[in-house]
Amino acid sequence: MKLKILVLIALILLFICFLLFFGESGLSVNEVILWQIRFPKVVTCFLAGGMLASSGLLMQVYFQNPLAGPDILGVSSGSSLFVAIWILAAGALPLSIIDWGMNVMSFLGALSVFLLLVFFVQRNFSRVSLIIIGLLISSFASSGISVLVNFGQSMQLKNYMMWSMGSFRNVTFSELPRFIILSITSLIAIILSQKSLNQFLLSENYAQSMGVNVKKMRLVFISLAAWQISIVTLYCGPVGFVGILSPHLAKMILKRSQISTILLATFLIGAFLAFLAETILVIVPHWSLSINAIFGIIGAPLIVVFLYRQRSMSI
Amino acid sequence: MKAILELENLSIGFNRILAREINAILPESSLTAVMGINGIGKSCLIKTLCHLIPPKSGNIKLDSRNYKEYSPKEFASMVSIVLTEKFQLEFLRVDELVALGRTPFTNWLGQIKPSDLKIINESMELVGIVHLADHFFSELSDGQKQKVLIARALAQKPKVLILDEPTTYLDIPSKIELMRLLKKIAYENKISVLFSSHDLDLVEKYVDHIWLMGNSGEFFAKSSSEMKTSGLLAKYFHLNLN
Repeated sequence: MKLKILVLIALILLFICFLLFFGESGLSVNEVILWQIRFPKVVTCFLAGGMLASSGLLMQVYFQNPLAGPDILGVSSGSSLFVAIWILAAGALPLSIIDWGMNVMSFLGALSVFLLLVFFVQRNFSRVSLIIIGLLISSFASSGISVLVNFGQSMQLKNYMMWSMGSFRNVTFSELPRFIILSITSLIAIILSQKSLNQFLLSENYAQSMGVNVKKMRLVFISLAAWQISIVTLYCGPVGFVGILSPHLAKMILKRSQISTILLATFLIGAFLAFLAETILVIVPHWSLSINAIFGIIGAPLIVVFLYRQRSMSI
Repeated sequence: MKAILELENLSIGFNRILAREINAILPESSLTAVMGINGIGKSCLIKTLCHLIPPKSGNIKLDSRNYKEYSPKEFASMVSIVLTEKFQLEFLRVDELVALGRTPFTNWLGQIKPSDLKIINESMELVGIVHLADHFFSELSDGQKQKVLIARALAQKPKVLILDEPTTYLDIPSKIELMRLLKKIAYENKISVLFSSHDLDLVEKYVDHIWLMGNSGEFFAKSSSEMKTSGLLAKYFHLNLN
């Protein structure tokens, strides 16, 4: 098991080396390109991919639903909608709060979708219904955004289109410290709460019977997932599939399910997938692919395979 | 006959009250069944006693202390549960699942110490699933799954084990095996076992005490032999309709 994780780390290091020394401009390495463009990109891939994966794991355990993920349950979209509202309102707001306000709004967007989902879960909606509700939230949010876009200027429109395709290249060197701090703190919080997450594996009732303060942990889990998803969505756009795929891949590779065992692997696989997509983008720059196009092509068939394997278990 | 659980004027229900003024004791180291036809509130009583839903009124005392006085962790060391919920778990090994029973007592990382490992193995041995330790839970039969969940509950080293409808998904031989296992747990490990069931014929042969719930909120607690001669079972299971 340790060997498998070491292999994963080695692969990721290979990707990092490749992406640092090879970019869209070829093999040229100078200080500006390396530090201003490639270094932020590599850090973003690593953290954003990993956070998408860990938030996917959180959601799958919390909702007891193997199909849960930031994109499928509409959390990314909720975050996007709130950011779009903020950007449109930005003209009327003082400059000093716009910047951080974006972080806060994307978090509130993700959190409100979660609260809505929890509302339905507590009224005994089935797992499938919950996913349909997630899809409806998604389509509501994207319709809302397309209406909002009408009120924006054409430049904002173009930015939004680019952003919604997903990209790990948007974090600039000067934004990097904030991105890293927000990411690392969320990851530490997940590590600290992994024992309770493990106790949630069976169900909320069992967790409670094992001494977990369920009400408190429920809030901790959804806030953590909303936090992580909001960071990724704000800086990289609504990136799909990594969140739902990574936990399944981690379990399949390690043949284990316990949170303490698969948490690191889930994070690494998320990072691995992000690096893989970014590498494809770098190798074929003339194809003008987007991150979400690549993940869609890899991810959608894989999810069908998972569903086929799990067909005996009712969802 | 020392009581581990005492129900005092207990009223239970989810939204509306399903049964009121329940008075009963659960004796130490015994096997007790909660019986009644479907939809009568057995599950509600079980969930209330598991401390998952609050009672509408009245008290439950565990080892002479009120439920409310227990911290979640203390409660976990006294009472453990097996529910009817079905799980969506792939790649969860049996030994990992049983190990979850030790998590109330591990450090913040959930590390399993050698002493915990010993308890986990003892629980698996007692239930007879040692040979399944490295199997995946999702690949087991319903009877085996039930045993694994019981082993998890035993790994908490409880004084009281509560099971909700444990016989429901089982075939007849597995049901009998389960009854023998619960009896063994009650007598040899000095644990009070309480479970709900509507398998009348099966249960009355094995249990020491029966708590019977009637369809308009009545509640009777008697020893198994008293219950048989009282005719209450026949009355409330509608056996004398024809």
